[in-house]
Amino acid sequence: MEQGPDNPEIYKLMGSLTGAFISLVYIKPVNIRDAISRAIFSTICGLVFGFYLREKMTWDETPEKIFAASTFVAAVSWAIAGAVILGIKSWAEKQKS
Amino acid sequence: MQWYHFIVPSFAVLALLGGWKTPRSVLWVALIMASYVISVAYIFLPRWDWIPWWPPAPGITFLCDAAAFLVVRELHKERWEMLGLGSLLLLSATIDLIQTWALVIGVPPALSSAVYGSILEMINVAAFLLIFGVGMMDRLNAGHGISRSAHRVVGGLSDFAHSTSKQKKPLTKW
Repeated sequence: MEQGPDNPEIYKLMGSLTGAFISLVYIKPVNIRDAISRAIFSTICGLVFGFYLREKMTWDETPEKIFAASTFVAAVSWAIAGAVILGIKSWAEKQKS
Repeated sequence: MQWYHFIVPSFAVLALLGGWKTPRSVLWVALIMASYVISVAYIFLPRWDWIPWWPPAPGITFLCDAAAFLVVRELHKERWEMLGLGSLLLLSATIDLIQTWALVIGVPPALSSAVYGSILEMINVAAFLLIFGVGMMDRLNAGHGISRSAHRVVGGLSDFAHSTSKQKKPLTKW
């Protein structure tokens, strides 16, 4: 792995943190615990799945594209997770009735 | 520095003069000015060569505007602060975000720096005019130099502006 400022992991982490911040700005957390858990969840999603979006969109492995992919994934991850949980809940209720 | 960099500070002084006695108005003026100064400084300050990539300037402006919005969201008490200042700061942050995305990815097409800068300056000026307007409204409302009908209009506006915000409470609970 490259060390120093050329290390892509730095841009991935920066993008993920920025994405988590964007998520907290646009969707207000209920309490401090919610804010912390959302920030951690979004950051992890940005770090783990950022590369997937970059590869799907066939973006080059440049710092700005790595940053953008991680930011986007981290920013939307909480909304997607919420939608998935709601979907599972409604599906489970349909199965019961 | 260019001449247009003095437009926003001039309106900040106007807002301070008009809204000096309005609660928290000095804090809001300082906050918006800090966001503006950091954003402009990032454009003009030299950057180290050993860092291969620096975030585009609209990205830093987004962080500043969004941080200012978060402070307003957490510390506001009255309706004019969140409905007026909060909305303006969020609008500014959203434009910054779209411009950053456009510069990095290329979609949607990025605005020219003149158009983008003008939009942001207009939003900042609108925020300062709002603070000035609320301050002037308070002074008119307190004084007796206006007609009874005008006093009623100003009083109604002032009551609405200073009514308690219905936004969710700040993040104080664990």
